[in-house]
Amino acid sequence: MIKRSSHGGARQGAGRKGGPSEVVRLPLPVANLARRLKSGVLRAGDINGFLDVETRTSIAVPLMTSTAACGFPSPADDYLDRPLDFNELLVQNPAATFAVRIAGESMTGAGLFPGDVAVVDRSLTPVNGSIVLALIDGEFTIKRYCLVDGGIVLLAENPRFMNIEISAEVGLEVWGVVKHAIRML
Amino acid sequence: MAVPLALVDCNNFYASCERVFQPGLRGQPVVVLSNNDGCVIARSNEAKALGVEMGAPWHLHKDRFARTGIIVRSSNYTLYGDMSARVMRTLGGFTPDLEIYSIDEAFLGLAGFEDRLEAHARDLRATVLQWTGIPVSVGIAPTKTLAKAANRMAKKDPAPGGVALLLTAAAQEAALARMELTDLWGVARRTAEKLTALGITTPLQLRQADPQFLRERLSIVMARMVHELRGTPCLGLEEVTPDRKSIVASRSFGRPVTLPAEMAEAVAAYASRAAEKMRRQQLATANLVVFVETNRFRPGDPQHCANQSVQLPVATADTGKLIAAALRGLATIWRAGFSYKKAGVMFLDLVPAADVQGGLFDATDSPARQRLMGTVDRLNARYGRDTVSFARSGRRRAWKLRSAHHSPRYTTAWDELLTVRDTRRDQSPPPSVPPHFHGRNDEDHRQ
Repeated sequence: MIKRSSHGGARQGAGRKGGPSEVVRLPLPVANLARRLKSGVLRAGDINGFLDVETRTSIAVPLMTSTAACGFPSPADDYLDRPLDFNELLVQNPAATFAVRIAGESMTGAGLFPGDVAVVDRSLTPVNGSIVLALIDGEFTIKRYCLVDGGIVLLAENPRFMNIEISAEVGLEVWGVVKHAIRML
Repeated sequence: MAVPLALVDCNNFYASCERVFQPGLRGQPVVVLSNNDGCVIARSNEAKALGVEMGAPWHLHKDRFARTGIIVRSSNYTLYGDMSARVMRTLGGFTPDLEIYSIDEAFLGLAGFEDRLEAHARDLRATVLQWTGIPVSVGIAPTKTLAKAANRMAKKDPAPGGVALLLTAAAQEAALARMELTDLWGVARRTAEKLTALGITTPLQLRQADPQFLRERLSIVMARMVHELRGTPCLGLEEVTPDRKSIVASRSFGRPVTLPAEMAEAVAAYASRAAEKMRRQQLATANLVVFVETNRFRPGDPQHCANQSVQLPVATADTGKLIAAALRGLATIWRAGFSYKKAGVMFLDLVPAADVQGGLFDATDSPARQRLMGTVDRLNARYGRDTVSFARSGRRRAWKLRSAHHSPRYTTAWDELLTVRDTRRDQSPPPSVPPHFHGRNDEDHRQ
């Protein structure tokens, strides 16, 4: 007679926990992800976990900022049915475009009169002949930026006003380039 | 290897906004006061160095500030909100994966830039400074918590030139070794005390701690922090500690939004989410910004990006009121015919909700009052704060908020633009008048 013994056999509560399981081969990143899921650090819906797992075989092309946001649509595009948009006309780079009020007369020869709104783009680099909003000794001024004999001169466009030669003593900071003047008649 | 994350944070943001248009404030101690000129909510580095404390009540320190040459500005949230939108728009050109965290901070996912992170970060910094005038610091690391630590390093130490990278274990450990627990994001005094009670006194020790142990003894938040400190990302945007200055809810859309009803739904959802975050901190707001943006990375598409500031007469934490305000702002900037890729709502000027009690209207406004409120809000949103004000107020003595040191709204009001006059320097007359000079003088007219 075989006596049913209480010895031997599995210990109470032994065995793999958590229900049925199977052995699977996984790529290492996916295995790590699964491990994190199990440990509770990562929740199933957490998008961050998947950032590690994607194998990148393609290289992302970095997006440069030189032709920045919100600019003119391409001429090839057919958007003739939209109303004229003055923002498009006047603002190439909204993040860097500011409006300032002209209250001086030093640039009347260039068409900038007191009361005008000057549209200033900080993202542009001045070139010879640019009209700039500049800081001279901490004061704002609008002048034409000219390169002369290797140096910079800020020209007034009104004979009553002086040009400003930039040197080590007269420091120049260009705040932005004036692209348009708007005048309410 | 985890995607490198950058945390970009504006230096002394409110003071920096003022300095863009008032360059005389550069290098000076500047403080910005809260609504109603109540207390100090922002300080430039120079003001910090003079010992000005955050939250210092203005009326107690007025004389001291005057004596020590500290320059005071009333908060100009309209300006700050607009400048923030500009900074964020600029940052959006450096990655398609931008998460706006607060009025002056954002996370950027830099997948694809791994081989030139530092150069990219320096380019970003220079571009933001040039385009907006706002200086920023950049911290780059594999996780948000470490990126925040890197950003702190970049900000405090001028040597790295505003950019700090914590990409290697050695760099991370060296940085953490120089920090206190309370310097870590999401660890305030109470949490630090609890950690110390468990034998963890430094960020390095926290990094070496057992996450499971911390999860059991403290919270899953702390367990996640351990992983984050080790370089394993696990914080989603919603799980980061909300900022105290501002609350943002913003997302890129999975597919472009072209219908006004869809956009209204999205904006309402963001306003609602932000309101929840705000209420959890027992705060309220009277100032919000709504922004929308098309996909800049499809330049063939017509582009439109805009932001609108909305001011409420009474600070509120009421989701209904905030949604209504956000939608009013949206209505002024929404344009048909564009495929919007992203929108967001940002609450500025967060005040303790308790301080708003005793206001003119309570939570159970009658419909007539609500209509009146709506009209008031629309007028104030369109024509500027306090366009319509009330003769009586609740707790505040005068309805019209004190704002004696307010700078102009340089970027949102046509009659408050920066004005460029003739300077002393360019007005000195030329030494002699050349003979061919045709000026407006009497001789010419007599000819």
